[in-house]
Amino acid sequence: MLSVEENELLTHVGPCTPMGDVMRFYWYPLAFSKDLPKGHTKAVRLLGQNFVMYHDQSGTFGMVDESCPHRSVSMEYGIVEDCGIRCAYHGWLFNEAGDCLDQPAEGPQSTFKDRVKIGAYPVEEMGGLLWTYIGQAPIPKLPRFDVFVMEGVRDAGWATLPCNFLQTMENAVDPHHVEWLHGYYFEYLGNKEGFVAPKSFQKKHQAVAFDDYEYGIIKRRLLEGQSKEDDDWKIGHPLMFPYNMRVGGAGTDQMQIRVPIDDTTTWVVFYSVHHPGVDFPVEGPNDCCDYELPWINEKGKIRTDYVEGQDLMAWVTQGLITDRSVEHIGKSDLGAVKVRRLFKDNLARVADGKDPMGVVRFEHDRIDLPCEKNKFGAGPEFAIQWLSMGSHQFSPQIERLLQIHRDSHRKVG
Amino acid sequence: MVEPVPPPDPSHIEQHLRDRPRFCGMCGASYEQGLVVEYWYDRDRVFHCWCRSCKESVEIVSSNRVVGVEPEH
Repeated sequence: MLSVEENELLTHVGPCTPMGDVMRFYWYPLAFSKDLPKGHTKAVRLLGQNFVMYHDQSGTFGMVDESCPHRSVSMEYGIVEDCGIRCAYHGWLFNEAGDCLDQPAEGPQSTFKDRVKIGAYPVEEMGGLLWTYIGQAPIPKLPRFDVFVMEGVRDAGWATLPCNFLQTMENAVDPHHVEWLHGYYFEYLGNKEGFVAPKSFQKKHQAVAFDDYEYGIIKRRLLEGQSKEDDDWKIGHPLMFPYNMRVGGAGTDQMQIRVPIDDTTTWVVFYSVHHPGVDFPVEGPNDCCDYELPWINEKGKIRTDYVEGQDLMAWVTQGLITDRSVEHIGKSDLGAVKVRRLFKDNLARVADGKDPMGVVRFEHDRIDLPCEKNKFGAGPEFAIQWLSMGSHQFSPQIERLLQIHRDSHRKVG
Repeated sequence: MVEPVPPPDPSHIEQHLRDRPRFCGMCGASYEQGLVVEYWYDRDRVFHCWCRSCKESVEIVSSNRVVGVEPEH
């Protein structure tokens, strides 16, 4: 239970809010690069602000404020030029740095254009995603976390959800929900609707632990039948402050990305790389098969017949911004308490003029993150269960993914 | 699509606002800039407190029962 004021402080991420200031220290993915071929624009929204991404004819990606500084017409309808984007209304041209290069109606002698800029933001491509940074200078490095740069078959299911991002992050440090929501409830639903729920999610928790980590919190679980030498406890996996969770197992690595579009909208991406130790055609670093997850059924209810759909149900039905002044949490919710403290600690850091945690300012090629390999002690079978009963089942390349994991199974013996 | 959130229990909210610790037991600073989260454990109400000033975390238990262990005699 929190006060109303504390809840608002932790969940409001718009401009000129304390949490918004913290969140603006990080790079965010806002689109898949294949959705923005040369000559195209895409309207995007991040932390309560509207922008337009574009891909100019020279190959440069750029992002500018949605509204033209001239008379506020949307740049989404802009003309993409060789170098920059031109407003459709009166032809003002801006480059990727936000400089105004041309104002056709003002005449060639006018210096008016030298005194006008549009808000412009860096865009980088990594792992088939387009990443941007909308905070203050100096711009930190785009963190090349292992999942985004490793070799393998990339696959990303996504959904835009009507809920605050903090609900998704509290779920990331809530190990007990796995055995209930993905275990007991899944089994209950399977019995009712005639399918077989995956057994690896049903194991009971004997202990959970949350350790401080330079990028967030390491979550550990000890399941029935396991020892502390098993991956789930010995290695665990990290909540990546402030908006990611790294998971994986059995030849699949995944970043669960939760982009705060605004206070009540979150873009969730289950970004996976499959590399199960068998030969398959190596893909380009920016090839990624993406697809929207079907999370509403024909009755207008949330689909809970797959693992991630169950999480989406939990996040969304808590409300647009869940009211933590009316909750009744227990000792088994201490992960949520810890993540709230983490956000509060980083609010203090920023208020003191420091970087919040995990802002990368050093040169690097790749940042490896700790993550268990033998998930839930289920061995290679985990991959097949995850693919069959999770969001991967909606992937256009599901048969291919199943095949390479089955080939891996056979190879392992 | 989204079910309505159940109405709050005003007594619990009032108790929380009335009883939440206000000052850090380690350094005496106000918790106004820190964090106070209440959770329940068995019969106890536990206030997990984080001080923005000294960075210490403590748990304060509001308990109506003290459980003792009688040594063998």
